[in-house]
Amino acid sequence: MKDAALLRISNLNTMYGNSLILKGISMSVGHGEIVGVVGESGSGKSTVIYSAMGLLGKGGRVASGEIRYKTQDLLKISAEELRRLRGEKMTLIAQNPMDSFHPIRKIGKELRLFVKAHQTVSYPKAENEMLRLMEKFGLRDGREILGKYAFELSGGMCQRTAAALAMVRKPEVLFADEPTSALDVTVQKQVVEEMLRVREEAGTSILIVSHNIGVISYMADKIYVMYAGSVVEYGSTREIIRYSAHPYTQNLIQAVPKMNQPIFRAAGTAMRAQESSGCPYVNHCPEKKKICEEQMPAFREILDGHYVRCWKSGEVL
Amino acid sequence: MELLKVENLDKSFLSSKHAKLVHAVNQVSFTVNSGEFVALVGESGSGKSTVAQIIAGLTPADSGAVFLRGERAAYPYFREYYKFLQMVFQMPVDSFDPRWRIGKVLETILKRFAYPGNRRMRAAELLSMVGLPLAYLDKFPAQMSGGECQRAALARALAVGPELLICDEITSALDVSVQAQVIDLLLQLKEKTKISLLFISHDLALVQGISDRVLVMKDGMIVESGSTSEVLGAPRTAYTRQLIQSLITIEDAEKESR
Repeated sequence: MKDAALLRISNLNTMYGNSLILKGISMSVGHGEIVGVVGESGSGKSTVIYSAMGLLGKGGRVASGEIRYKTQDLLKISAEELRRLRGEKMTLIAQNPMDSFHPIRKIGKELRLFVKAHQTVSYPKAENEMLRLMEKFGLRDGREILGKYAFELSGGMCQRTAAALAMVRKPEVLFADEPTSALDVTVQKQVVEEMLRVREEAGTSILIVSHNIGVISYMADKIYVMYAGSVVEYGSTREIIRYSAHPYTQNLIQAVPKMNQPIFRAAGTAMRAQESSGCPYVNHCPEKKKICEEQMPAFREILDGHYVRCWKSGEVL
Repeated sequence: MELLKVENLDKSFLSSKHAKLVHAVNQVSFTVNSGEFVALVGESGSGKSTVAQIIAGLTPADSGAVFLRGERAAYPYFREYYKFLQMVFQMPVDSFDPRWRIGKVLETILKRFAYPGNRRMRAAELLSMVGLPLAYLDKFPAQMSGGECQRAALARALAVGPELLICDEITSALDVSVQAQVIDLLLQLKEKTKISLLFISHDLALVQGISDRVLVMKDGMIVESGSTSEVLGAPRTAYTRQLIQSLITIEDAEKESR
């Protein structure tokens, strides 16, 4: 069978030191598809991106699994090949924008180096597009910014510049790690709209990780919900937002403040995810049963393409 | 009762990055009544945090005055003022001394404000009030998650029983499910005590859910104020409308139903 997915992650286990951060994650991103990953901090959602980009950093390693981009397994190709894919075919908007830039290289130089390295576009054309994107993001003095170093910019300016630089390349896959969390709401919307536009114009697939469920639900075609290193539910955005089946997803969506609705209050004490063979959500789950403590449930398809990993889901349907 | 009144606050400072004078707070006046939850909203750089810092006595205003329960509070503040007002900050972990256990933090504050009873017991009481297990008395800030740390910061702020709590973006570093827990704590306080809250946030949907009154700040000025339903339901200025429209919520996605 021909694989329709542009990027397919299978059974990914990623460790930092001795702790397993990703526990058998599988995800797929289709051509031109926008896939959102939600979950609380520490759930491992960013680690998915950094595993794929080969940027796990010190102490991090992929223990097993496969990350297939078209026909290549990103975990098996050479560092050189991966580097060539990164930056041209796959780009990243990092959560901490300062990390996206070389500390002692001017922003304009980064753009010039990109053009030189990949030679898919002329510099004036790339610069024009860069300036257009920057202006869209409310950076009117784009040319001045190109002459600056990253540390001379404020966090928000740096984030917007990094977003522009990641999108100017019109990549095949854009990884976005909390691309909007450092931004004001008014700018947030611009960055979101431009990401949608890049998909529209260049057919870019986007894997966006965020704890802002509003942004994810607005952009994504498909949503994966992560909890404590596992995917607990996934399906089309509409399905997940409207008809979520996992108690964690339901809690998460309820907890998002909404205009014109009374605010959701979660009573109770601070508790952590369960470290055991059972369901990681068992400590918080209002509907837990004995089996939840003993065994991790398998994925069950409850509707076309909507999968959930919960013991409860068998009964409700 | 008028608990807090600020009159014509004004502050400028030299921005180190752009080497120009920033008029951060421009003739800001408002009041907070006893038991009232007031939200101060605006984008970053609008001056809302500077207003909070002036009220909390962390930085002096260039001109204008702060009145706490009718009495003018001049900078630098006396320690007694902090019996009246306390502040909780955005980055929970950063607001603790990394080498102090939470129990020591709480007991030290109680001692400083001459708490008459058993301080260890009061510290334990405070922790349970914010939903933290007793074992957290012996934890260091770095051993706690962001949400746990913010609960501890609330416990610290509540230790001396303040009448006014200033919260500067206290949930923006937290996940929504944890945010909902912190919000529940604040609303419980509102129901059980007469505490007043100055709640600084950029999340209008959140503000909508907890505050009685909203002040909208832009470029150092308050451009709109009124009851929450007035300001967010029928905004009068273009800026407030823009803020509301920029909000990306779950409802938007449902409307478009991609």
